[in-house]
Amino acid sequence: MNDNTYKKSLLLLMSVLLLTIGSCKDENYRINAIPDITIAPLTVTDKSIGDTVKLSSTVDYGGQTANFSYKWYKYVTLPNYTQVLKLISEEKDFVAVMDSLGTYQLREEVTNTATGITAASLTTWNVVSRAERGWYVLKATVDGNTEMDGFLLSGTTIVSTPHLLSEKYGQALSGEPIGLTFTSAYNYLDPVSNKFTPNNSCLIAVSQKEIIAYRIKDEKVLANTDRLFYEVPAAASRNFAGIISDPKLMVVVNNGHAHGMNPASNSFLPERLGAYNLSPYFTIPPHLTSTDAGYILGFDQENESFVTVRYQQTGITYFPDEYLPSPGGNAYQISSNHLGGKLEFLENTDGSLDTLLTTNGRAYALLQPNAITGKVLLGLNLAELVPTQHNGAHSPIRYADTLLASHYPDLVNASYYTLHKGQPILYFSYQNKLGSYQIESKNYLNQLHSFDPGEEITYLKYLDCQYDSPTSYNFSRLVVATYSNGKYKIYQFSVLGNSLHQEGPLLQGEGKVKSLIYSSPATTAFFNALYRYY
Amino acid sequence: MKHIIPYCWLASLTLFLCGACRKDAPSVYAGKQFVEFYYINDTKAITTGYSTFYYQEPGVKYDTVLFHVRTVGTLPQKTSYVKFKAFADTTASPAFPDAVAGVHYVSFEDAQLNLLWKLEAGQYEGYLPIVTIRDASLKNATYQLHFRIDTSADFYPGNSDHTEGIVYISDKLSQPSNWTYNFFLGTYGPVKHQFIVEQSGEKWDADFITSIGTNTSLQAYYLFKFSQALNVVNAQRKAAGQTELRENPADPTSAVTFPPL
Repeated sequence: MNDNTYKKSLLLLMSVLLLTIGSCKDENYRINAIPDITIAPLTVTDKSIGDTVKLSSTVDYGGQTANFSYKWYKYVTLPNYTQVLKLISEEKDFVAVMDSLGTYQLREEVTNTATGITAASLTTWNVVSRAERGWYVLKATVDGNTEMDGFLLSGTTIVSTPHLLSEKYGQALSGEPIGLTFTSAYNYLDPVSNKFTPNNSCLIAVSQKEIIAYRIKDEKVLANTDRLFYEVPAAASRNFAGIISDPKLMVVVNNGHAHGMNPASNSFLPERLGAYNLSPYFTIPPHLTSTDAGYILGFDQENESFVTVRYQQTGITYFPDEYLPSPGGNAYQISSNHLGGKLEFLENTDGSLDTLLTTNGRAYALLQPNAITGKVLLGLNLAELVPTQHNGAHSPIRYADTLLASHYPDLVNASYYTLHKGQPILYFSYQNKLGSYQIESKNYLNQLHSFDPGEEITYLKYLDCQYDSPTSYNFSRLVVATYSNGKYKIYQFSVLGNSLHQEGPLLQGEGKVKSLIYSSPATTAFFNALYRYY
Repeated sequence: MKHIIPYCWLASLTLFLCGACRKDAPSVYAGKQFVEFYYINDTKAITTGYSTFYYQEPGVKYDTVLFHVRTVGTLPQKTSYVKFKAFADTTASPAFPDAVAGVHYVSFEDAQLNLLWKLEAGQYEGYLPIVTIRDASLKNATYQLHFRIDTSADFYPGNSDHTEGIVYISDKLSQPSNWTYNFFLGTYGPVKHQFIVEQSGEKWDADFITSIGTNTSLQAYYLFKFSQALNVVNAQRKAAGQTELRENPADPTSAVTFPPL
């Protein structure tokens, strides 16, 4: 190839290249860009169980109109801890009731129905319990069944949540209300997966015919009568009469017989056999150490004797007719067996009736003797129950005083009694009045306070709640419920000397109050302080 | 340039030969059929079954224990038969005497039984029967039937960790294999075993104990129930002038007891 030919060839090649490049010109510049789908971010503050969340999707499509489809997914964690998306709704607006605690992760997918292009956004919020701090009230309904109301505390605000059983269980419990207690350690057995979930803080609500475990934090009934017994008592003959719990033993009384249960277990054991018939009155020693728990003082109406229901036993235990010596002689050699009367009250208070001990508590009981028109006030040494102390070796009775109707008419004929938890003062209600009797000084006042004549007192309890956190929620008050015209009122009084001062909010609702509990998120402290309710 | 050509040929030949050295696929991918006992945890184990005539009506002469098997490799393309082979326990001091074919179990050579050891075409897993026979000797002792999956016309034995089986055959209450030293009802005794069977109406055999598992709440229930029942029975016996319930009536140290609640 000579130089001339080479140049011609190069020129030809360059011409071809230029022509090719020139032909690559856009025919015109009218390209229609597809707009982005922009989903406006959603913000949801913390929600509570039972709250309804409503969200409306706001979509921008570059200012243009278009048709979209919507999908709302919830992130769900499977038992193997993997997360999957569960389709909740295909509506434009998201509406859902919060039914479980924890983080709610919501994925929104918006799809242009013409182009198929999809955009997504993630919104997260917490579902928190609203129910752990507040009052739970067990009450009789107009038709004689059992309901539970809540008065939930959020800061200084109280939110009334009536008819919790109807709302959460679908129905009231059949029969009159019997009692309400608590465990911080209920071991829930899922009937589907057959797996346990331990340490559930539950209220145990009891009517004459039914019993349920109600998990406080997410307001769910975990178990009913059929699942709370290994051997379910026959419904027709079922007659629950009492419930009590401490951290090691919960006892429900059915037809006078005790069914025990480890409160960290999931069901009541079979009834304890024997010829006895327990009254509904129980008390327990102060829970000072773990060795003090699991010993419940009760009364056998069949033998008119005090008994203990102990954990890790299959029966009930009577006290021997043995007496703890005391300095200065055996002042009270009183057997706790065959007392010849009916028990009408039993509660504990601080202090001791044991000259060897300053703690382990004492209890007072009111016995209606068969022979006299009065009552016998008995003082009981709770250290007798505890294995690390006397372990039931002696009669627990360490004090006795006969209260004649002629001297103390209102006290003897009272409807309800309770003990101050710091001092041996007995409060009582007679008709619409409150009175007091100081056990050590025998100082008697029959009119501490009067309610309106139409108000019937249905509940009286001195509550010393020192288990909440922060401690600003704690209180020590005489709590009284009254009933009038189908409605109740719950009053709280602080006690100053011989005068009562109404404190706190007046709680009101429908029905007649049988029992109540102040619930705290400090569940372990709450459980350990449960003896304060008995 | 000419001298490069042989080297090019040599290199090509080497590449061709290397390509031809392909390893054979494993047997499971080569169309063979294997069968093994079904398992979840791949640790060597003898698949165990129990045949206890004690709980059966007196007229029952045969019992069937089903063994769960599965195929490995390819699924059967036609009805395929499994073969089991019984063998004697060769350990120095066997826990139980070996079962005798025709006396304690239907022989593995039985043609009718062999027809039941099959997996149909396309069947991944199945339950194959071992048939045991009630014999008077089972009243006095538990017999063991060791067997393994053998090579048949249709199957090779699968994972060797899961091709051995054993059936314990008895006509008396015998200590379940999982009633071990730390069992929640305490030490084993035949009188205690009989007592809890009567009190609960349950078999308390290995399968039932397995069903309780580590459910400590259920264990607490049974422990309470039996402790309470024992108190009642002992009180009745005492009132009748008898000793407490014992494994050996003449031995006071053999009293039936349960661990503390």
